[in-house]
Formats: sequence, C-alpha cells, structure tokens
Amino acid sequence: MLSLAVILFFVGVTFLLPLFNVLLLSISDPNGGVSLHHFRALATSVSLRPVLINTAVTALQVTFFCVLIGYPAAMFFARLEGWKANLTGVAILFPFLTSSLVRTFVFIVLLGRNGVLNSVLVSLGVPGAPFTLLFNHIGVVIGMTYVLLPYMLLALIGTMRKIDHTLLDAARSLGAGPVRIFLTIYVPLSLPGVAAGAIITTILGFGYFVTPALMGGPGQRMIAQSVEQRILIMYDLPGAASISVLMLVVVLSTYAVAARYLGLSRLMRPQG
Amino acid sequence: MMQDRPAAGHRGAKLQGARSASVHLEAISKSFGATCILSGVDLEVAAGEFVTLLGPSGSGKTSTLMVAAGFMLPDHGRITVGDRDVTHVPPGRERDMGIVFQNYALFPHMTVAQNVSYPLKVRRLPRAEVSRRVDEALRLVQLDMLADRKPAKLSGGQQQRVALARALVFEPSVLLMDEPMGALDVRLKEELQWEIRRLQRELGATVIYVTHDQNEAMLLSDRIALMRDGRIEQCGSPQELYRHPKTLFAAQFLGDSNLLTGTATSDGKLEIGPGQAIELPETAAATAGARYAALLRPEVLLAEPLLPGNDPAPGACHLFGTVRDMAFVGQSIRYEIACESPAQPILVHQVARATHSQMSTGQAARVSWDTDDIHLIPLGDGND
Repeated sequence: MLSLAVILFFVGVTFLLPLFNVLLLSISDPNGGVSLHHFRALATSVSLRPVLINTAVTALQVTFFCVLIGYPAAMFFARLEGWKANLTGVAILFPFLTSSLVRTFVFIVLLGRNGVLNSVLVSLGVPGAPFTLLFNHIGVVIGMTYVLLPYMLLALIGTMRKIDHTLLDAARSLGAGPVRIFLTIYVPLSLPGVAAGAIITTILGFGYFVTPALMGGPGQRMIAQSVEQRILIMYDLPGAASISVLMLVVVLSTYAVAARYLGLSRLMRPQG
Repeated sequence: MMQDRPAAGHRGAKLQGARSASVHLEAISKSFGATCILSGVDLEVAAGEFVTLLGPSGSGKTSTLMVAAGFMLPDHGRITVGDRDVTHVPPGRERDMGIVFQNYALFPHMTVAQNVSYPLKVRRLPRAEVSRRVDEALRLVQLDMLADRKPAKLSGGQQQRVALARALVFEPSVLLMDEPMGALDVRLKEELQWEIRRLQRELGATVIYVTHDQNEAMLLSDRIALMRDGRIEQCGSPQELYRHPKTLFAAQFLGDSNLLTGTATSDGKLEIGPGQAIELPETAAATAGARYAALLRPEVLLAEPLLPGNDPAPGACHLFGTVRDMAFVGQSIRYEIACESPAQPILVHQVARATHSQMSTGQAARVSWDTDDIHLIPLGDGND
C-alpha cells in the first residue's frame, strides 16, 4: 500500500498536476475568469489548420514507411537466434543512446546537397542528382522514419518471435505455397505487432518536434512547432496550452479508436 | 460418449480412403554432425495399415516421422508412397500427406471451419465442394456444431479432432500423427483412441503414428515398430511384440516382465540358480549351454499361500518366496515376491476374484505357471 501511495504521489506531482495546470491554462481568461476563448481562436485560426493537416499527413506517412521498411527487416531479425539476436537487439536500441538532435544532424550531413548520399548519386551519374532532400517534406519524412523505425521494429520483432513455426509447417503440409503461407498465416498473425507499432509511431510522430524543426522548411511546420512558437515568440501561454490540449485529444482519440477496433487486449497479448 | 453414437458410415460421411497408399521407408539414416539419430530405419506400411512407431524419448521415432513427412531430408535411404519415390519431394500437395502435429498447429486466427477448409482452398476446389467436404469432415469428428469457433475456445480433445479433420479432409494418401494424445488427460485419451481407431478402420487410411505410450500403441495399431537408438528393434503385431519379444529391451519396454536368466541344460531345462532349474516348453528349442532369459508376464503367474505340508522344494514350474509387497489396483492384485533366485523380486498380477485369499506382506508364497507361457530370449549376442 505504501509503495502504491508513493507511485501515486510521484505520478501526481510530476505528471497529473502539470497536465491539470495546462488544462486550466487553456481555459483561462485574460481577466482571470474561465472561458473557451482560446479554443474558439484555434477553431477559427487560418494558420493552424494547414499545420494540423501537415502534422497528421506526416505522422501517417512516416508510419507507412516504418511498416514498409520495418516489416521485412523485422521478419529477418525475428528469425535470428543466440548472439545474432542479441546483437540485433543492441543495434536497434543503440540509436536511443544518442540524442535525437545528434541523429537529426547526422542526417543533415548525409542528405545535404553536397552530402554523402548526393555525392554518391552524382558520381554514379544518376539523372537529376543532386536531389533536394533537406528542408522540405521529403527530408522530414526521411528523418522521422529513421528516428521512429526502432519502435516499429521492436513491436514487430516481439510479435513475430511468438509466431509458432509449426503453423507454417502445417500450412506447407496442407499444400500451401510460400506466398500463400505468408499472406494467410504469417501476416495475419503478425498484424497485432503492426498495429502496436503503428500506434506508437503515429502518436510519437504526431507530437514530434526536433526533426521537423531542423530538417523541414517553412512549409513543413508541425504542430509541436506551433506550441513552441506560441511560448517562445508570441509568449501566448494559454494559446500554447490550448494547442497542447488539442494534441492530447487527437492522440487519445486515435488510441481509443485503435483500441476499440483493433482490440486493446490484442495489443497487449499478441497471440491472444 | 462417442462410442454409443452411430458409426460415421451411417452419418452419411463420404470421405473415402480409396486414395490411401502404401509407404515404404528403406534404410533411412540421418546424422546431425557426429550424432547419428537414425541408423538404417526400414519400415513397410501397407495401404490401409495402422503402424505405430513406439519407443522411449530419443529413440528416433519423431525423427522417422519427420523424414516420412518430408520436413527432414534423410542422408541416405529412400521413401516411396505407392510406387512414387517421394524422398526429395518437399511437404505439400505433391507429397500428399496429412499430418497431425503434436501441438495440433491449428491456425489461431481462423475458425474451425476455416482451418478445415484450408487445404481445400489451397487446391482451388469449387466453393460448394469445399463447404460440402468441410461439413462431412466435421461431422465425421463430431464437431459440426463448433464450426464457427476459434481454436482457443475449444478443449484439448476438440482441438485434436479439428487437427484430424484438417489432415483428413483433402484425402491424403497417408496420415502421419505425432503424439497427438500427449497433452490430453487419461480418460479423454482413451475415448479419443477408440475414436481414432474407428475412423481409421472406417476410412481405410494408411497411418503412421508416433507415441511413447505402449498401451496406446497396442490399442491402435495393426503393427508396432519398436524403436531404440535410431533403428527399429522389432516390428510386429501387438500380440507378437508382447508375447514374443526378440530382445530384453522389447520385453521390458512393453508391459511388465519377469526375466529369469540362466543356462539351458541338455534335458530341456533352464538353470536359473544353483541347483534350481525350470522346465522349458517343448517348442523352445534351446541350445544346451547357451544363455537365455525366460520371460514370464506377471499376469500368467499364480501366487498362492504356502500351506504347511506343501513341499517347499524348488520345482520345475514354480518358485517359492515371501511376499515383499502387495497392492490392490482394481482389476488385479499386484504382488512382489522375493525368491532366492532370481535376485529381482517376481511380479505377479493376479485377477482379484472373491474366492482368492489375499496374501499379506511377509507371508510365504508359491508362484507357479504353465510352461507354455514361457517365452525364451537368447542372450549374449549384444542384444541386452
């Protein structure tokens, strides 16, 4: 009971209290009263809508590319055993040890007009090279996919490891070819992992700040940047708070819908 | 609960065993590195025959099945189904074998009906044909009421029957089963054993079955192949294996046994101890001077109290001793009777009839038998 009280205390002081504070701030009135003034302003704001749309589109695109790259990679990793499995585990977690700021700068070096990638492409004589891969939408998607891919990989590998390989043998003995086995057995059984990974990357992508701020152009502003702008440039704390609350609502409802239609219990127990 | 239902044939099932074929494993060997797991397995299974691979764990029975199934490629040897050489045919449509896996390997995201229809959809059968055959197969295993359930919502026995239906529905030429009863409780096991036996006889399917349970093997099989150290020790009908084991291993693996070892004498007896010889059946044809073990199954022995006045001299077809332990196990009373020789106490399983006086521990007893119940196993050529 004591430990529970301690946990509640820390969660309360460090998490719920500030969150409550933000909520209060977002419905505060310049005169000290309570009003929905800030939310009304958001609803009518011309500048916020494209940012919101860009944020959602970017988050979904990043999720899509995470699945596209992560799925085959995870399939390969999930089959490894022993020291190879440990090594891939470390390799996937390794990026988390460096700050996302550093990782983003690495990509600026790689993707710049005179960066490593473009130099190689130019020297290979690829038509159209060098490409503009930075300070535009492509740059943001590449950078965020790189940063969020490990989350997707971990979710997928966890689920794929639990797939019973005698099921694949059974399908083979029943006459199914490799493509059919993949589509009718492997993919359906790995879907809970895809769903879990997609929810994590979408939610994290939705609130992402560093990468779009450093690798995006003015047209790629995402919603976290709007919060920052309101705090640091416009000094509009209640305005920033109201956007934060909006983000929270979007993220929580995304999660609620996902939990409802994908089955929350399935996300927790992939084989359930 | 299943046996008293009408047989499947009267339920309108039309699954045919007509395609069942013979299987021939010839000189199958397989090694992993320096470890030899199969060393020359020879097995011929006739069309419609039920053959069980029986043996302790590590004897190679599951490996033999996996080689037959095509999941494991033998280093040497040949596998033929009917007159087709399938040694290098991978598992699947062309190999044409139905397999019931140890853990059933049901697809958890599919319903019972979807599981059973899987092999038919793979074969692109018309939809009406698929649903007709799925219905038949499910009726055959009495699961037609549960067609829309997911496997996780079924009991172990029901799951096993789904696996069986799925392996039978595409009418494979051979059915392979790998310890399908392993995870079930005893009562259910026996019920399903009778069910499998009935189904197999009805469909005329060729079955290769793996188990480590000797009772299961005897109940189900036309023939049992007893395996040991990667080869077949002895292959024969349950009766043959139980009554006439060729080796001590076979004698001891199937059922309880009393083995009286000794040297054959020129007058047709076996000297099992100093001055103690038992009479051998005339058919035994023992070579004088050679070492043998006389096998006496516990249930062919008669144990009775040694009454005063009874001659306690060792006889030609009886032994004297004291009851070391006894237990009542329902269908029989089991005695352990310590004699001077053999050193091992003699096991007696005696049918518990009301007229029999039960002996108690420490009591002097006489164990007797009919000479014809003795089976002789030659010793000394490395088979013990």
